[in-house]
Amino acid sequence: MKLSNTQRATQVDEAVAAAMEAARALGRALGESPVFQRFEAAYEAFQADGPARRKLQEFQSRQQELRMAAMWGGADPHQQEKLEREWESISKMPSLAGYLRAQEELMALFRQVTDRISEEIGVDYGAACSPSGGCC
Amino acid sequence: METTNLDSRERVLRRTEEFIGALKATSVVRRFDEAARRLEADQEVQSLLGVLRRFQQAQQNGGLSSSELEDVRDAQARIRNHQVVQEFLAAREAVGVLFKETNLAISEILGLDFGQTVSSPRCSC
Repeated sequence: MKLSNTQRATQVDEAVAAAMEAARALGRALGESPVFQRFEAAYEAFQADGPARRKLQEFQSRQQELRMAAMWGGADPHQQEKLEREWESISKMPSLAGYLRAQEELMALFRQVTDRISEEIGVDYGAACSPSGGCC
Repeated sequence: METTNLDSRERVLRRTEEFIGALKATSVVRRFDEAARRLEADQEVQSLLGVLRRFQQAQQNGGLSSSELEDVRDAQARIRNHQVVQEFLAAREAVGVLFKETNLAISEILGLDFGQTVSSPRCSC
């Protein structure tokens, strides 16, 4: 049976709408998963921990300064080592450690899903969704 | 608790398979499949890609002469302008746009960017 252009366009729209609905169903399943719930709880606990957040912000600003210095050729390897030691210390703070663990677990689940999509479709899902090719 | 975790992981994986099935039913992904098959089957494109791969190997093993560099540029230009390659790239880009739209829908529900995954708090970029 031959389809008219209007029928074909309707079918195309329906297939995209079905894909969008399947995406939302996947989003809901991810959101209801214990892995995601643990991540949310850990995130909230970290947000409520003022000293840990301040430490992380200070660390990130020093890290940024060091990165700028490296770009201009003035990176001090001792400063880099100091920063590494600082990270080792602050990442042991309970709320941040809990958040990092929960985040890692969530990322593993997300990766499992996106890897499967990429493998089946033949296009990298994460790379296609990243405006700048991901984090540094 | 273990059973709940397992059930929920299975539900996520089942929804993932359903999502993949729905993506495969779209004309965007079907066009990409056809374009990828044509690219794979095109002898001229495959031969040009083979030339580039051989040159890349040669470059790693000690550089290329100026005439070899000229051949690489020529092969690159022929690949870029090849209709089958252009169609493949356009089809892949269209899949990327569809991916982005679905990622927005998923991310809206989760309240964070699903496709890019959550970036580490250690990373300040």
